[in-house]
Amino acid sequence: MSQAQAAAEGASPPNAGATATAAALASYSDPVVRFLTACAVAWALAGMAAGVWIAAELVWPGLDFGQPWLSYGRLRNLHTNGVIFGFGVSALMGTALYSVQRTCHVRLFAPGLAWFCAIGWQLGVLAGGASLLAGWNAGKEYAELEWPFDIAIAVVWVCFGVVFFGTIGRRRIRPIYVSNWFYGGLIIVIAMLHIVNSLALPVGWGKSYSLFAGAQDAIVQWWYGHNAVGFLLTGGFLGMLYYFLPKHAGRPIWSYRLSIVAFWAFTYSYIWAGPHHLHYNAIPAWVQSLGMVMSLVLLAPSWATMINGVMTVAGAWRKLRTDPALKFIVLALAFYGLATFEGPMMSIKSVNVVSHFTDWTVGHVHSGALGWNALITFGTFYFLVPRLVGGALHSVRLANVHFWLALAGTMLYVLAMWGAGVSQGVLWLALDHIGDVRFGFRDIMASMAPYYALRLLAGVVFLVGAVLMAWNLWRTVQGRPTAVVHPP
Amino acid sequence: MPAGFWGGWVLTLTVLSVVGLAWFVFSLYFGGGGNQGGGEDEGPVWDGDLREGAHPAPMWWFWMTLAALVFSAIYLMLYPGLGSYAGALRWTEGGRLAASQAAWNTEFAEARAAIAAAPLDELQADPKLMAAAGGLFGRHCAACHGADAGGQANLFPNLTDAEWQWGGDAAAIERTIREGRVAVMVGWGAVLGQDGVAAVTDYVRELPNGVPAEHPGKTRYEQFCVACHGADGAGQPLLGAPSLANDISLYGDGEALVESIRDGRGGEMPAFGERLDDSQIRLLVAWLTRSESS
Ligand code: HEC
Ligand code: HEC
Ligand code: HEM
Ligand code: HEM
Repeated sequence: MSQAQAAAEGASPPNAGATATAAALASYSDPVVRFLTACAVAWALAGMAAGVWIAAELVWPGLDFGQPWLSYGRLRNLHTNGVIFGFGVSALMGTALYSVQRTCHVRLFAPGLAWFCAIGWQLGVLAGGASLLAGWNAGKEYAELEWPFDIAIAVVWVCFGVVFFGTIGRRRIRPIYVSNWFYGGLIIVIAMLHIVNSLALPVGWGKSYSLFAGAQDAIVQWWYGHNAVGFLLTGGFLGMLYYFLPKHAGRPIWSYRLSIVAFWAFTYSYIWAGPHHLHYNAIPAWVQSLGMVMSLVLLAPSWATMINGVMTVAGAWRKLRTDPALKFIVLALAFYGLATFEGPMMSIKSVNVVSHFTDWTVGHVHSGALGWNALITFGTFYFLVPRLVGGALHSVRLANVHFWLALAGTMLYVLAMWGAGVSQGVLWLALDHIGDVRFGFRDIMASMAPYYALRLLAGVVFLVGAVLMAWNLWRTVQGRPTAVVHPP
Repeated sequence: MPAGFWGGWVLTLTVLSVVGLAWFVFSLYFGGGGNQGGGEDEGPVWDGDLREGAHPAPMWWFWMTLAALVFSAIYLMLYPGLGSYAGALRWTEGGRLAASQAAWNTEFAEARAAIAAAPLDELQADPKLMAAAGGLFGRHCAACHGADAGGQANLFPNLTDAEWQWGGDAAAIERTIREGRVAVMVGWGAVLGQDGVAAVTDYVRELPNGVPAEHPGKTRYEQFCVACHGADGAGQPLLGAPSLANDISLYGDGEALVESIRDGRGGEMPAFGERLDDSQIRLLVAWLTRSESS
């Protein structure tokens, strides 16, 4: 079967009525997965290139060339939206659609709708990115896109939910596999967060005002912001982990009980933790306390997953030496453990006094974003893409090179930002002998130059690795049709 | 603090959550903990080889989780969090601010009062204090006047040169900082006309070389400008009218000079009396009038 035929098959609507079972047993709809994977790789390059560019602007401010659309304020949003919604969500959608079919032993429910989601999402992020460059901005972090995009996102997201839960609904094996709990949590919670946080009064195509105001707005925004991190950058990627890690290691998930804690305690506690972004702000003290306490409790489910993951690979350490994909996933687990230890520590108010408003936060973000999200996705793609075309990875050596570049880039980035962040936090709080602030913003800013240069280097190293991956994956799929796989 | 129904709601929900999470973790160790299948060999198999193991969680994880929960419970008893209960320590954000301000006062208030009353030359002789003053300038003033106080963009005056449009003695500078200054020089384009502006501009350019005996702009200058800038162009610090008789210009020469005369100027120095205390203002005055800077 040619690629075009395969794609056409993926796009055909589900047969109705009596032939439903036959449709469920038809081959998995993988072309849409292939498309989303390709988009995720493209977004990874574009989003991280934007990241490298703004990192460079922090070293050479003149790099905006006086163009508003190249200014830091706009490109920064392009970076975060590009990596989170372009790269992250495309990868999550693709891997969710891939794994849900295989763990339910049926073809996708409504593959046509899946194509609608996949393409709709790409167009949305593309146009959304352009609108950010043009200066449209709703002014809420990670929810910068204006209301027309918000509506489009909500529609596409609900369709994604229909495809996903529709597939679960007609599964041919009764127990629902753990990766699906996380992907399902991702879909439901993000829908809820997105819709509530985006409630706004439009005053034109490109401008709206939030329905919430003041402290209330801040609390809603960080309820959204934190749980976008929680259910998208953490929960969604945990779904990826719980499918691809055991699959790849060829070993059972170590402990079902830990999976249960990891899911329920995680889902329950995360929802409370948003106020740790607002410590010592003008929100009630009791809200801050609850946010802090629940963030500490989050350590339990987070490390439950880490233990579960590490012990799952424990019997397959040999594979690590030969298999770059597994190396990526295991390293991602380590960074997951690191970020979810650091996070609860930063939630403690007396630590947050130092870390808040500093690059420590940015370091924490990227130990999660590079070390966890990007690495696990890279590992997953090295595993997934050859299987999508039923071939072997073009070059294992290149993937190994990528592994070391990614590790070096992440470490450099995180170390540079820890250095920068801790020194900012400490210097800002320092008093001189007459009780005045000892160092001015200007002096501290000037002392950041070496750290920012190091971060730029880290970003370039990381991006070069991603480019190698893109080429490697491209050579792997080039000229090969999507493999046709049937449910058991 | 949420009172009444909402206080009870928050309290109930929080206690139930912490207790529920604790129970959840305990049941993992001490309950049966229903497995979907019951181990690697018997349980369901997804996608050919995906199974679930039946290992218990390691004990250190249990202790870590317990520690987090116990810490949380204690924290919520000490600090606000449980609905309308204010916490055993009666801790408030306002209280914390007041306490740290009080601590700051005991440590520094005396030294600062001494600075506010000290003679300038004494302050100027203390390098540590001058460094502190430089820091103050960097934080509060440099954004406009430049990091080296050398002025910026022909809009914010150089504070290191010989010209002080509002007066260069300590009292005048202190007043500038404390109360701010608003300069008013209206535009003369309408009154003088284009040719008049050109003539007067040229006259102003001649002033640094001495008052010209004869000049096409002389009469108009004497008619409109002397009241503030003086016949010899020496300026009038009470009005903030700068000297036109030296080579130092605030807004620049060339076209900027024409603009000043045609369209007027209204520079504004913000007041810092409420943002800085007496010791800080004193230090800034000392710093601005120390010998190297004038
Ligand atoms: C009411 C008082 C007043 C009168 C009258 C007045 N000026 Fe001024 N002039 C000022 C003040 C005050 C400033 C400072 C403006 C500022 O700092 O923004 C000033 C600034 C200037 C400057 C800019 C100086 C520099 O260093 O850049 C020039 C040039 C000038 N005046 C020329 C004139 C001329 C020529 C006339 C007569 C046509 C005139 N002024 C009449 C008060 C006056
Ligand atoms: C927002 C910008 C801004 C800031 C901040 C600022 N200034 Fe100024 N300052 C000005 C401007 C504009 C003038 C000129 C006003 C005029 O045109 O008369 C001025 C004038 C002055 C003058 C009078 C100069 C003269 O020739 O008489 C002094 C002294 C001065 N500033 C000191 C300070 C000090 C000390 C600070 C910090 C505590 C400070 N300024 C902060 C804008 C600023
Ligand atoms: C138990 C887990 C975690 C906890 C308790 C936690 C806690 C925190 C805290 C306290 C902050 C700083 C808030 C501030 O001072 O402004 C923060 C910021 C952030 N964290 Fe985490 N974190 C956790 C895991 C993660 C993970 C795995 C990621 C994945 C990428 C992540 C992404 C972020 C992001 C993006 C921000 C920045 C938000 C902003 O824009 O200000 N976190 N987190
Ligand atoms: C080449 C790799 C990357 C580079 C060089 C880079 C660089 C940057 C820079 C310079 C900032 C702005 C920091 C600031 O304003 O001080 C930033 C912010 C951010 N980046 Fe990246 N980034 C990279 C990859 C990623 C990836 C892969 C993700 C997510 C999956 C990500 C998520 C974020 C987020 C969430 C923020 C906002 C942090 C905050 O507000 O606290 N980045 N990045």
